[in-house]
Amino acid sequence: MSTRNALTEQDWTRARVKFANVLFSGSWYSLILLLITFGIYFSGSAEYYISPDKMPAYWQISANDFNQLANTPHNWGWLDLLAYGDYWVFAPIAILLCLTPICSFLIIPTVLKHKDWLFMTILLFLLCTICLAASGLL
Amino acid sequence: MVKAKSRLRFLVLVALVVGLVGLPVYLFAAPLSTNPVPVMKHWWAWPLGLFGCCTLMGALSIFGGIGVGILFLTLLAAFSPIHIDFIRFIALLLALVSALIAAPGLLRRDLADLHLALPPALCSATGALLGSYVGFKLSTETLYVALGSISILVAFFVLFSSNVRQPSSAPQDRISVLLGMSGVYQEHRNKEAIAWAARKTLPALVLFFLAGCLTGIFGLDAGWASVSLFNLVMGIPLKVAVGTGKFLSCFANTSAGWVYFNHGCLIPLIAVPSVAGLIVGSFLAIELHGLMLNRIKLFRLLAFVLIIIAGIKMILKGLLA
Repeated sequence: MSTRNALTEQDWTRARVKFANVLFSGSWYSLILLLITFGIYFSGSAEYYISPDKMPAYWQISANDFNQLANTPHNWGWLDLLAYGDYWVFAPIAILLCLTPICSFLIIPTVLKHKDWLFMTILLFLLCTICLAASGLL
Repeated sequence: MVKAKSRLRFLVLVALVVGLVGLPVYLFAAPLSTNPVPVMKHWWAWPLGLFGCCTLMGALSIFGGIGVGILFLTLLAAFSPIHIDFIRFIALLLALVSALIAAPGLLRRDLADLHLALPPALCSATGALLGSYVGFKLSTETLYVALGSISILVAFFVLFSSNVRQPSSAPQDRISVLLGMSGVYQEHRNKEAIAWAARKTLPALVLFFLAGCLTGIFGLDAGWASVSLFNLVMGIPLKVAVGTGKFLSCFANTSAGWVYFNHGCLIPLIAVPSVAGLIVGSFLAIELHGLMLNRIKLFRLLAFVLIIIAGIKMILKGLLA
């Protein structure tokens, strides 16, 4: 980078590769887990919370109506229903949604080392935005 | 060559069998009318049909150079009975998975730059967060009309916009200097080191926020907008713009995805086969890309026509509801 010296650049490359490696492994492991959990759900090996033969009727109504009619949980309430096969699939999807913020945390040491405070502020705001979205507070 | 051709025939055959046979099975399956929720006997035809359709869409998106998210979103919203709330979340999930798979390679090859990506990612993710809340406040009819119109505009934009491989060098602005939005990338063909620096950062950040809002409201991946904003507005070379744009999608789609996930928009029975179909379709398309090089314009036109027809159907669906 024209604005950064070679040593700084080496650190940034290391941080970028670390980000990439965790993102790569995390994505593929989550996708494999997603297929396994879906296979179990689809085969009917685990108990259903909502029977799949009712789903074609449910997915024609809005998400709000579906949640009310089928009595499904909002926000993180799915964690209480992990005993059911259809909610196992929620775990790998949640992991996929967590990957980008987790990988972003990994570059914080590099940012701190180089005292890049403006970049640090942007990174923290970005993480707060995603955490706010994930919290379901809004 | 012969092997690849037979592989292509096999792909087409599998997709046709799964997609085009699975759906008629659903159509002929008589739903049992039990109250309060009707029960469908051949429910398994839906995931199989979606897997087949998404395999075709994944392949078409690679051959035609159009995002799989917009293809899925427009076609399913226009032609399927699935409610738009669930379709928007799956479209976001498809775009997120596609970005998560592509991002590591782009980061390792220095085609996605962290300093260039993070400020627009903050604007895009904030826009996506606000947009998704707005999206839940809008009526279904309004969403159909707006999404139909926007998909037609996006299709025209994708078809007629031309990005610049190496934009002319212009002075770096103060915000860009402050944020360290400059760098050097190595051209793989001739090993030439090409220096780049961002310009017009402030207007670009505002536009990234607006593109993020669209992602949130409609579940529309903003990849098409990000690449053009990096390339045409900020003057970033096309390779870095494409790489960083794809990487940026991870943040915007994650932000909007969480809101949809928390609102209970995930139905595994349709979401997982769609994601699996996209991955299979994309990999098969990459494998067969060499064979299709002389037909790329045809695939692009096909995707364009499909999106336009779906867009018109959605507008009618919204207006006549």
